[in-house]
Amino acid sequence: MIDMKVLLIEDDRAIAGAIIDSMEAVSWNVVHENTGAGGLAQLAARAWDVILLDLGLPDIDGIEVARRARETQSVPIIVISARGDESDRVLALELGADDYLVKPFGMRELLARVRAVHRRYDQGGDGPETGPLSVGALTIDPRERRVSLDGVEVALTAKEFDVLHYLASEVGAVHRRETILADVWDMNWYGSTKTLDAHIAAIRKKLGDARWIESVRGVGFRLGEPQ
Amino acid sequence: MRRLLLVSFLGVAFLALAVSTIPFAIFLQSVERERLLTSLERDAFVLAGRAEEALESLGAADLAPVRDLVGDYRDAGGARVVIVDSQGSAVVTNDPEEIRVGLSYVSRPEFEAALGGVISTGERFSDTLGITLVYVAVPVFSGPEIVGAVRLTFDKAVIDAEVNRQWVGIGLVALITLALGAVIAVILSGRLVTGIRELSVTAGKISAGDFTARAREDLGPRETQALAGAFNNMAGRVGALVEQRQRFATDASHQLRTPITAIMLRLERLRDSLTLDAKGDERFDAIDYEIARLTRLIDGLLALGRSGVEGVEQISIDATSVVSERVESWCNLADEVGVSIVSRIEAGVWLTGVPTAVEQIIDVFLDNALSVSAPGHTILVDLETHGSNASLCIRDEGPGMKESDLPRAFERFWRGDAKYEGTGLGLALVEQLAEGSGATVRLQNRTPQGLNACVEFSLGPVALSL
Repeated sequence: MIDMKVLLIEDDRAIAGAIIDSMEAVSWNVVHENTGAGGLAQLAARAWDVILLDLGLPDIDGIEVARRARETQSVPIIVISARGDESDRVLALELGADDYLVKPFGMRELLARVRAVHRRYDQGGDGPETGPLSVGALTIDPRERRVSLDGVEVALTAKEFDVLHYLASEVGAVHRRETILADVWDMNWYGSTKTLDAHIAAIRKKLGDARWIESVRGVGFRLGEPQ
Repeated sequence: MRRLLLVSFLGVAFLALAVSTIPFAIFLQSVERERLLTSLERDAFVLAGRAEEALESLGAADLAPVRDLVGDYRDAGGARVVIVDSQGSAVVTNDPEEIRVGLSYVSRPEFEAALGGVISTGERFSDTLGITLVYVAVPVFSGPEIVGAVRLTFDKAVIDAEVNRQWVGIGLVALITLALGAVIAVILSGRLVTGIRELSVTAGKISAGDFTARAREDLGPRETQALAGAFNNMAGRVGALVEQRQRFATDASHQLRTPITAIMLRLERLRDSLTLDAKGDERFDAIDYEIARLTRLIDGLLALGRSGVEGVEQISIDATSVVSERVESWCNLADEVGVSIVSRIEAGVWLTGVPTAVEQIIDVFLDNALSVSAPGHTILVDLETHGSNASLCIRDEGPGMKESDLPRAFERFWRGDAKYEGTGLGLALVEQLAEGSGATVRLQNRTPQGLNACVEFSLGPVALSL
């Protein structure tokens, strides 16, 4: 995954700088454009591995940029937006974005998303990853939506499965509450942060060992094999 | 308002008619009576002139033409006539049978007066006929000598009937005037009221949250149209202010997310580039924690901005299902910290509220209850109906609140005891959701200890779930 060519279309210099800094730390090439027009010009000029697109651009609406990019190119687009409303999300995804990342997000999460989207394109399909994931004795099969522990199936509700699958997308990393909520639940409301705790508690109980999912106080959760 | 207008309009018309018509009618009545009496008097004098010679002679040949004359007079619709001689004995009457000829009338006061040379006019009750009579008696002079008297009597009822006919005519005119007035009043008041009614309907829509509602400015009189114009301007400005306020909360929250992301990314980068000991890691964790808190605060503000009472439509909520589902999902979390949740949930409770109000409120209440509960505590969740209301109560066994703090607990950013985690927005959100749902919230301390958080909704219609 060295030398990934990333086009960043974002008008806020502070966040653009931080993203460039993070990506250069893993040796990716990032080109930054402030405007939708500049972004479209760059798109036409070169081949890219992934596009990071902010929706609130000064000249052209980000959604429109995504739509036009989709017309000519087959390149993964990840929308980064401060708006987490379901309607924004659905619209962006329908108009050709491959993923939708709500601010605030951390570097690990951003890199993981870029890798995941890029991997999907490399595999030639644009559906989600379908291979089973394994974490120690725990197996998660996204296609069948089944979880088994030591070969014994664990009955999870749909939401519990989504949460566990989400945590398993990067084992050992801390996933922020807000990010999990924004991604697994389509709405985010204030009281719902504890909804997540409730689901985590249920998953822990079903896995029979609370250490599978570690709480990081105030921040989020981490999935890992009990040591 | 319209009824008031109609009543006052017609009331004024009625009064004006009464004040002008009644004296007019009374005047007409007296004029009519005068006219009849005058004509009677004139007839009496004419007859007296014709009877003069006959009375002088009292010969049958002279009396016969007089008798014919009064007979013709009666047949032409005239009055009853009695002619007496100077002694007061009737010599000519126009009764068909002339039965009264020869009777003495001298005792009748009018004859007494007439034979004394005085014209006498008036009315009196006649015992013989059993009716009230109007009479005129005039003396018959032959030179200076009174040779007799002529009396004309008329049934007073006939005069009254004539007068009454005039009354009826005047009454009819008054009635037609009133009816015309009523038609005009209905038309005018309608014109006055439609503009105002339109305004009141629009004001109702606006207070229900539809800030796009505008009143028509072409109804009613010019003043009402001006009022509608001013009202529409005001509605526009208020709508813009409310929208601005709502947008401010959401915009501010969205705007804050971008710099926070930049901080998070920079911080992670910084942390990766440093070699840290345990103390250093702790410091970074503390920063992470604060960033997470800041993010929750922003989300809380966003939720508050979204749950504003304006423009959110109330729906019917299956409270039994929602509360059961929420309690079930919180039980696992409570289990982890050794707290049990006991619920008594009435079946089939539907209530009225803004979407997700029940979920959000019970989440905030249970979150608060759980954070103040110690291992071994029980949290009670009750959903029950009484009358046309449904109450949702969450009781914990925690330390409760200082009585002086209870009213402040719903203020934004107020945090009772800083040792508990929280943003201070939960109860503010509950209050706002309750307000939007037309519900009331109250917090009460329990004895010996604990807090009872209740929200009271109105029952709603059972809706079919799709």
